[in-house]
Amino acid sequence: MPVDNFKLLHQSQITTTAGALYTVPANHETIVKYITVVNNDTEALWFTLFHTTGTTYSEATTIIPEATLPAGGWAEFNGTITMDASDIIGGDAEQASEITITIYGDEIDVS
Amino acid sequence: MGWTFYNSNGEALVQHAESEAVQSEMEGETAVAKFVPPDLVKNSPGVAKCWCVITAAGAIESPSYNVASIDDNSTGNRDINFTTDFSSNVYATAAIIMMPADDISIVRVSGIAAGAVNIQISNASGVIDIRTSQAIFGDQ
Repeated sequence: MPVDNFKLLHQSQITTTAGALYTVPANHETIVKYITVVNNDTEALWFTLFHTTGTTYSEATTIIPEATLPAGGWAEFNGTITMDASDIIGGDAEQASEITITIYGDEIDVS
Repeated sequence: MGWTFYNSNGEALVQHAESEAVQSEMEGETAVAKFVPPDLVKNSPGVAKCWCVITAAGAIESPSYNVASIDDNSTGNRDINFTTDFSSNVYATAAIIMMPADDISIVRVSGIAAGAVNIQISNASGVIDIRTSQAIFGDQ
């Protein structure tokens, strides 16, 4: 029987190289419900997010294209993103160590 | 609900165009999702490219727009020289006399060039110096 695990799925500062931020564990499915992306810098910076079923971080897997956050600004996603086992939310940013992403949701154990 | 972006004051940001329109898009009234900077507003076809008031003595009054100088050639005969020329000698000049008393004068647009326009004022008695106002529309 599936078991819900409502939790903080991921939190980090996005790097300038596109890569995995959150990966759905084996035998799990995840529903992302809320994401915040914060620009901690004193200048506007962009970030990009991907949802990939492999390791492709390109236009083909982009869910947020280069979106600019003003200095000290943030973005929030409030909705639903469904993910299967091994799916990845990835991202990159204009500058490292300045863009903080936090992902909340339900990581469902389907084993 | 999807994504919402905020500034550092927590104010939600409205979607806006990030690239600037160019002169040809203004002149063509092209439907592009771009913002119009203040220096391109004048390039819209319906916007006056020049306006001014000329005193009875043939001097320009302040303020004015896109007037480099006025040549007071002779009685009732003035040239308006543009700071930024029109693209050709095809443009529209609207001119009117500014006189409180009854007077049947006419303002005639005479010589028209890309860089200047000549206006001449006269009444039943002949040429006359009268304060006039002008607005000119066209393409630059």
